[in-house]
Amino acid sequence: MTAIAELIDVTQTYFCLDCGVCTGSCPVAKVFPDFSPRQIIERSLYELEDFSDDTIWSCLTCAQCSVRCPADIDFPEFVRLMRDEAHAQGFDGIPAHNGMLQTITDIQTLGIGQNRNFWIDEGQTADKGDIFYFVGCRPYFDVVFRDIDAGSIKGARNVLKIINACGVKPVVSNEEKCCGHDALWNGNEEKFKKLAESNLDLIRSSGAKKVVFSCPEGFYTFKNFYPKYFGDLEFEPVHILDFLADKLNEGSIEFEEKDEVVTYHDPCRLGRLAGVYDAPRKLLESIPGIELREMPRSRENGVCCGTTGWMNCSSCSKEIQVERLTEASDTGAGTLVTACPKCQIHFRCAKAAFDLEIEVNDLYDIVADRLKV
Amino acid sequence: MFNMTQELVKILGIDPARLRLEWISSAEGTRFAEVATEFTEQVKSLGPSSLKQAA
Repeated sequence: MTAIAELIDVTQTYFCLDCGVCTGSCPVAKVFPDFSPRQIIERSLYELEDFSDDTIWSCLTCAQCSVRCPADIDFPEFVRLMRDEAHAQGFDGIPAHNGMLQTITDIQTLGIGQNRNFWIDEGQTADKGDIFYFVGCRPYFDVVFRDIDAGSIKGARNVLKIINACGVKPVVSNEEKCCGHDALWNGNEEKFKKLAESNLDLIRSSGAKKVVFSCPEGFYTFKNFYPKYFGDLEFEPVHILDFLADKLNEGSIEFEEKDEVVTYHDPCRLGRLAGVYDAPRKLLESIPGIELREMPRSRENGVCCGTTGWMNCSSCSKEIQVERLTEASDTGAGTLVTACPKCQIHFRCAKAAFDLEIEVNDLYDIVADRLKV
Repeated sequence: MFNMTQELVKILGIDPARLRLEWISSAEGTRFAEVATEFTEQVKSLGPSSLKQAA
């Protein structure tokens, strides 16, 4: 059996109806007509597709196609597996930022002693405990994207402030590694496994029973892919929105009133992939003075922020981002709120490049800013 | 860019003294030799890097 035929077998793409809903829904196909999920599947079925096809690296894996597919074909997973084989054969996507972010995570597979906790100032943390705060790549993003005011460290401090306000001093570790999300979607399974194994060892040794995430990619990777590769986890991955929702229900957290009209952008890992749509909206609506206006494309139809896995960022990415920011402005909102550090970076990059007026802000910055302590 | 790399190297736990940027023109052979020798000595004196120990 050829590698393509095996892939079709595993992903059951032979159920494809050839209806074209995938390509019709695809934000990339709209701006880059050479890319067509329908044609990739069709070519694969006739074994005309091969792993050198460079359009497979253009897929955002945003799952807009798969949530609409009448045959339930998981196109992002198909693409991920295709990239694995392509990478093994020596084909790769085009790394953005000269591959700097891939290098940073490569170095992390070597088990060096990082100083990634340098950002902690007023926040309270512990060396051991039941709750681990998995910060994610924010310390690195903050440095790499300082020119576009990434605000990644500010976000990490604010998430810690929120966790502290919930009465918890979480474990935050210098030994934390990248969760491996990008390696996984860049077709580099080996690198993903190295990073994941190291994180699992670290969390085991911390004794934590719950690991709290604010990054949708980290949360989704731990929840979905870690058990897939390593079996049942000895701890529970918890999204900060759920963590916070319990405290809000108890009434132990209160907010100061400040008027602001906002719109919410669903990150694809949090929305379509992890199924979290209501929690961020409920949280925003529970803050007095905040008025939430929905964009036409929201929830299951929320469009991707334009780039995934620091790869194949192009004029198409910028077109998607500018269109999204315009859609956000058109609601009359002054701020686009997102809940993903990468969405924030991508939108702030487009905002800076095209001199757009709308503010781009992190959900947790808004929450932390209004917390009554 | 160099400052950024220096900061990243620090977060990764690598001694920033292992990183150096110098602009030397093709007419400055002596200067190149001096800098290369000096930097080699500096890196040698730091001992094996954390990357080598980890690998």
